Amino acid sequence: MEPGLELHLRQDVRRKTHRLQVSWVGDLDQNAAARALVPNCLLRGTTRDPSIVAVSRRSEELWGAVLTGDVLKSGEVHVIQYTLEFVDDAYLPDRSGILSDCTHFLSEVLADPHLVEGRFPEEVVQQEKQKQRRLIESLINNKRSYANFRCTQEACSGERFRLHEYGTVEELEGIDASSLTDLWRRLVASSPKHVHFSGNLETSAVLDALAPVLQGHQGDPLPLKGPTAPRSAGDPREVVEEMEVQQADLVFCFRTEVNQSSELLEPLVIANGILGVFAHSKLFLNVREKASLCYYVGSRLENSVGLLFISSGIDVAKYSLAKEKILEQVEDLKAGHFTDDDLLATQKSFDNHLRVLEDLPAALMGIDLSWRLAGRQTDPVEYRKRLLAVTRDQVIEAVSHVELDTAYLLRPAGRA
Amino acid sequence: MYQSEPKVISNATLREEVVSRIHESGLPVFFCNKPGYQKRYACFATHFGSIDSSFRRRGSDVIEVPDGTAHFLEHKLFEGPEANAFEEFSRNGASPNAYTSSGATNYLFSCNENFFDNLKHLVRFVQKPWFTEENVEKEKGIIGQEIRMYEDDPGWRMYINLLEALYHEHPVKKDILGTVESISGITPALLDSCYQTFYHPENMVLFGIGDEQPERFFEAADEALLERPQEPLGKLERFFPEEPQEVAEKQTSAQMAVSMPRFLIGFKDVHPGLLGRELLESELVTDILLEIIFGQSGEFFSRLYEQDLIDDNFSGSYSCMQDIGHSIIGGESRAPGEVEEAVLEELRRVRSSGIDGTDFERQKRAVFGGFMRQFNSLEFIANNYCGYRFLGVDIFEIIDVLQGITLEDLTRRLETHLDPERSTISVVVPR
Repeated sequence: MEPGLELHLRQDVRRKTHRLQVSWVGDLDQNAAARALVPNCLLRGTTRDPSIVAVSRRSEELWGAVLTGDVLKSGEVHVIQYTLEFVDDAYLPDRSGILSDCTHFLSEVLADPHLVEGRFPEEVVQQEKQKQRRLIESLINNKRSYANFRCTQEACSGERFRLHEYGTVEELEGIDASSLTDLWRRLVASSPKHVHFSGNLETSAVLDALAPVLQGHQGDPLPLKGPTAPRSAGDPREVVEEMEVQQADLVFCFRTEVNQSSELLEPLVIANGILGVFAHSKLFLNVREKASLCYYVGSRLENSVGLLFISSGIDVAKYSLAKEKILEQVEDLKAGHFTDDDLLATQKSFDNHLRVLEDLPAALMGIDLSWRLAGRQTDPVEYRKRLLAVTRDQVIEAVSHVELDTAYLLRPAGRA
Repeated sequence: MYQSEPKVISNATLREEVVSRIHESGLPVFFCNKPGYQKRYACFATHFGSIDSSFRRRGSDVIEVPDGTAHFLEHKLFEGPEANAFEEFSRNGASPNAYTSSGATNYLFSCNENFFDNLKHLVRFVQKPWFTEENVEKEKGIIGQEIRMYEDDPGWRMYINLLEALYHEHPVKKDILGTVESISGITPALLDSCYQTFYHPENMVLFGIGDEQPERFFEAADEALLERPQEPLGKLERFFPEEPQEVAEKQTSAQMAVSMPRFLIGFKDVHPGLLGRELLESELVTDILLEIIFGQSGEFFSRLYEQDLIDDNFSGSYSCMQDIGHSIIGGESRAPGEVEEAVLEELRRVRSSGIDGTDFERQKRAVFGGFMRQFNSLEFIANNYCGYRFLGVDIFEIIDVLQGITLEDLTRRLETHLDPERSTISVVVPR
């Protein structure tokens, strides 16, 4: 395999479909908007199927193969990701076989787009820019994710992690067909790539079938910046914004000082589980069930950047009380106020959760990629063992570094 | 104990098989073995949804319940005198959940280990209601926040507005959650009378799926079910108001904090009155029809996309619940009115020009592949098996029904459904 191109195969005899995923990875930076445009322009047509109609008909002909292209953020890494999910030949009524057609189809989408005079058609680029501008503007439509995004921007100003995977409207301005086509060519040739395949096929058959998808990559991959070292929290900040909504959204961002290479990673994962991932977690039991202060409340980790978020939907009149109750749960955890049963239940829950993920190729590929990007070992069985070995003292040690950085409140406009 | 011997229902194309037995309490119990899967999943569903707001059991008085009662009851069942059922699952490593739809309430969990312990817990807590003045009042606060949350969801608001415009009387038009006002009238006694009626085993289904032996599943279910001897359900009548064929409003609009207008165009079906295989066939025929006319592989989509009137979110689907049914086509647009006009015009054009046979065959292939994908999912199989069973449908038949559909079926369907006279539009526009 060429440098910068990695292939990850997993045989799965249980499913009726195959899943093929191609990820082009790069740094999350001011180029996100342009990078996000690339998959959307590629999905607009290939030399063989030069329009949306033609591409869609080809997918349908291939027994409803599902083709997607999008971008995502994995810590400070920006991933352009294409997937194709299609029926295993063994399940097709006419036994004609579509495996080879499907991999050729995806390879055409990635490397043989419909071009006019060597460039993406100008009108296609303009339409996709317009669409992406609207997508960025539509972030306000989902209040919960908007509040999380705003809190991240405020907490991480000056850090790469604050950037959104679709970039900004301003970044879109300067992009034209010519610059975007150049970017696509550079990515095909030199972007570091991960190709994941899961299905009921022997390795040799997969390798034969995937050959077209691996073409075009020329080695000499573009280097990635390493992860930023986790920062400590300064004095906590409070940011309040208003919107025309009924319910207030509250997001807390904490600094954990623990990242993917830290020894305290697994203890922190368990600590977060005791705090706010499950129905037996402190936040759910004490803030929602006992105090009736919210409909949802939960916590999540962003380990690649050393952050912990708690978010909740609350009645704005109860803001102070909710804030107090939520922060109390974190302090309780630090003080070791949790039972051995809380610890065990959390370990069991993660263990079950991770085992069950083995049924889902999309989830497995997602975890595998994020771990590889973070430079972590990628064996889920080993990870499960480490989670089960976490002790009470380690949990307290891990959570002792967790400090509030930013409290963000999105409140209904014009209400007391 | 079971009343009946195990019966195997299978489908050769899907290569799936379900074993069914009727428990002595009257409960139908199903198990589907999925070798190699790590996940085990079970759901316990009752044929009680948000539309069941007026009913009578065994000829006694008609009971009318406030909007949101089925959903409220779902929330309340998780609570017991000692512990919260949700928390107990969680402590046992399982992920529990529940949802209420217009036609059913479904309690479920997934896990890897301790499947049978979790199963027994599921069966027991659903059979053990505990309603007190205090815990009912407390729940009003939690559901109140849930309602507020949905009020801020433009997609949900637009959908409820559409249903209110489509229907004059039928309770399908009401929000499943009810309103803060409607749930304020819910009492422990009211919940109990709904529980006694709809949570009777004969009105429910228990379904398990995963890599386990069916006999062990039936045994474990039986152990948990034994605790409750049952008298027969008897006659259960559900009352729905007469629904006119016309839509209630031709358009409806709301202003919300959104970046761009969004819309749903609804088409009311003419008293479908379908159950069983016919209902499944009608759903498939209508979905294929919508995909051919408005899907991404059609010229219509491409034209509007290039005119910047729609984006990739533009799509349509049909749903039917015995006496009522509707198709919904929706998306985002700078000019929803222009999209509506174009949609209605396209329907007139297709009615006169007819449907292309190549499009039809291609679409059937795509739908076939879609089902193969969905039948990878344990949740899809279990939830749909239960939900459709209440409508008299065996979901395993879906592939055979699909293969039997002809172009003439689509043409006939187009004569009665997707009529511009019975259409309405719901939009949400930026403030």
